[in-house]
Amino acid sequence: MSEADPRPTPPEDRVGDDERLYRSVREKLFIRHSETEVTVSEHAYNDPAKQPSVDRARIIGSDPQRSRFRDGDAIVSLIAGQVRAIESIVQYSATGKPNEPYRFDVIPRPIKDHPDPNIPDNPAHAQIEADREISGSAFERLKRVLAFMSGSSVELDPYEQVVYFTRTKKIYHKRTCHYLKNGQRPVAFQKVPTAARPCSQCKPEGWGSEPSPGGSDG
Amino acid sequence: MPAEIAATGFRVLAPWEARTDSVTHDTTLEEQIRALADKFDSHRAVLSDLARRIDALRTWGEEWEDYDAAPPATPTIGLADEWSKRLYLDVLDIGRPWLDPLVTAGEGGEVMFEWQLRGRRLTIRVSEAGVEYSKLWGTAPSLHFEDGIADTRQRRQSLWAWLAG
Repeated sequence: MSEADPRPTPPEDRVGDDERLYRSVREKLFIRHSETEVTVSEHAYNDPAKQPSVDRARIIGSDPQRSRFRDGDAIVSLIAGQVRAIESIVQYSATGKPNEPYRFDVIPRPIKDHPDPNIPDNPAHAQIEADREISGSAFERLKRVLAFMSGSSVELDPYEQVVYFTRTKKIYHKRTCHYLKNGQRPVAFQKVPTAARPCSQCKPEGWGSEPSPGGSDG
Repeated sequence: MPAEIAATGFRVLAPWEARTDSVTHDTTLEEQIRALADKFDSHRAVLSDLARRIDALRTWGEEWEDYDAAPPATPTIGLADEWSKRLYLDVLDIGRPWLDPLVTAGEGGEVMFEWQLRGRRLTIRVSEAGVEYSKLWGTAPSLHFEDGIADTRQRRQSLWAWLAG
């Protein structure tokens, strides 16, 4: 999913600086210390090609559930402009002299008809790519920075479900509920207003089959 | 005494006086840990959970279709366990509360401890070659890094003081 792609990006499809990007994180790479404090492991951004994959939120209706691989995954987010603002990762020469800092970009790499049949189409797929081949130690540092940024923007905890509102915002539903029709608005269960009620027909629940609100143990 | 968990996630443990009352620095690490745990259940619970999570790295990556690195070797697990216990005692020594780390394994077979709190991130990397730390703070484009060796009590305590703010 992260193979280097030399194709230029069509200018009309540039990822905007204000675009939100989702990344799925395994439960073991995430710990919640408190309501506001989370640590995401730098391993969450491991990638053999050193080009971590993300999903563009706006293309999937800002529904973080759609970026999830497993119920136990957390979903964290980044802002494209903040990724582009990373300019303090440098590689040192053999003499100890710093080279030019790496620059990073978020490049749309939609997946369609991938040769591996296990990889589904994903029009939201994008990659965080350096302006040149990145060394192992610099990539370690990039992963650390991305994890650092992700710690303050958790979209879904492990096993936390997304529920969906209609325009009235009074009753929430499962995504498949026939009451939803058009205009559904996804909301993480923890962010559901206390006054809202679950739909009596589809009976949405806030947590998956192995609920662990409050953190995982690595 | 149960561990009180503050809003930040820190565990406020038995006070400094309690530790000095129960152990001395002349005893071995294991003796200090045992004495502490025997006297205060709150410490026993935290320490046994930490040891369990480090030991669980022996099976790290099993049944992960997207992970093909070897888990940490037994000597590395042992070093990480020992280092974490030393950190715990050092934190008590300076009268600071404890924050549970995220415990993971690196692709090079190292054990990693990671904490992030109020805009500061501390990473500890334990391998058979030694224990290294990385500090990260700030916001892009003004990110700051500091790397070094974390093998002395003084360094462990200064790292924790920095993380806790």
